[in-house]
Amino acid sequence: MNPNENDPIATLVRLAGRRAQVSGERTARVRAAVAGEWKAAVRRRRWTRVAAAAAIAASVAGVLWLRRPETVAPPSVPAAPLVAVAGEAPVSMAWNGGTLRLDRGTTVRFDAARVATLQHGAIYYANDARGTGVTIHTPFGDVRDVGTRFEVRLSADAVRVRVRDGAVVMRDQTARAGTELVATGTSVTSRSIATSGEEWAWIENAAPPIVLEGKSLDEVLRLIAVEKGLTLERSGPDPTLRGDVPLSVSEALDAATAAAGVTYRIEGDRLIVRGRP
Amino acid sequence: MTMEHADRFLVARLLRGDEEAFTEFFDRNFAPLYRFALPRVADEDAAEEVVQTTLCRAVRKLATYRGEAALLTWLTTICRREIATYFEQRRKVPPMVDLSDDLPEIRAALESLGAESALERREVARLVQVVLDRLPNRYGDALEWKYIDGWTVAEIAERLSLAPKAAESLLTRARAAFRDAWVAMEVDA
Repeated sequence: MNPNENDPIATLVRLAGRRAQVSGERTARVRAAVAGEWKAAVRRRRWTRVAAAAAIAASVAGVLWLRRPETVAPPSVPAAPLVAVAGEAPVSMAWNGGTLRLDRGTTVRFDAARVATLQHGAIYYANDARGTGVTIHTPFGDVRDVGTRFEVRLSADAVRVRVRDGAVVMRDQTARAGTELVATGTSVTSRSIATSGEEWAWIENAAPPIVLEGKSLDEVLRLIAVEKGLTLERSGPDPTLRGDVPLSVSEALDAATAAAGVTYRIEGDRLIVRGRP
Repeated sequence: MTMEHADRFLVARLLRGDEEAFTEFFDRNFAPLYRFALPRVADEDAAEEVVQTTLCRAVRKLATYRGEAALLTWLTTICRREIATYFEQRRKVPPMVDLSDDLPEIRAALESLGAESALERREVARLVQVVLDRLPNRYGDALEWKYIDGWTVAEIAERLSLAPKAAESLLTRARAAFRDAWVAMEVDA
């Protein structure tokens, strides 16, 4: 007599029969695709990890050597000029109530509480508090913020200032949102530009990580729209979100919309979020 | 460690970039998700597409998994949305399928366990497969090898690279896990 004959589990499993198997080829295809997506997600997350140890160690010598984007302690008013150097990746730090982001390979010297000198590369300063502006010295003139978000990129023969929001003043010229100034040793030219898109991507990559926990969907979407330079158009629910792991801007957009059961699309400079039909 | 704790631990390892964790994550969840999707889209290529999209979306938003439900349950929720999107995008109507492995339907179907019609037996069979898919640690495979293929403990041990005693112990735990999962559904029902 089969010992399993009266065993109810054996009976049930036999009744059910073998579960459908997936072919090895199909499994391998999906595994490769998902593994690629997972590795990319891990890389994006690592991009946002703290380099505090390196920064602290380096700051003993008066230099912040920053390898990955992270909000680090504000330089405040150093007793002696403090220099921040971004290594292979953009970095972000708090400065005067806003965030100062350094593109890879950038060197900035902090001369006073609200004054810094761009020595090499590019910075982006985002300050929502009007009237607490900062001044960025460059070899081609000073860039004075009057409550704004802007990028300053220095090259050997010119400095380029791109304004995303608010206004900046440089060599008596005021540049407002959507304007680019290029200053050389002899001239300053101005033109209109887009305030979102690929040229601003490094700034998003350097953005401080976003933690969803306890924030409303609306709050997170507004933050994302600011980081991407987009105008938010939304309808649908506004739930409180969960999730305590720091996310990049794009990860936060995917995670927040998926968690809230809404869809999004980007059209031009608009981030359009709708409830699922 | 409960399954949810084990899943949280697995997700934490995935977030750190642990390759072994990815293998465990994929091996444990791909086939059950595929089996979940297949009857709903009624096409093998479509099931592959939907499950791939599901898993890609899941690994992007792993950080939002909080361990409040089993990982497979969380993935199944995403998969269900992807299936709806799949049909929306193609402006197709989903086939009429039996959604018995949705929890409320499982509960309802269990009420009919005592009945004997062929339809109900098929329903029970599907539920058994769902339970097998949701068991951890390859327990479902081990039970199939034992009761469908008639493998000996030694053969199961060899397949899992375990000592015979460890394989015997695994089978005991697999039976207990199956019984618990089955009884839990009956209690819910």
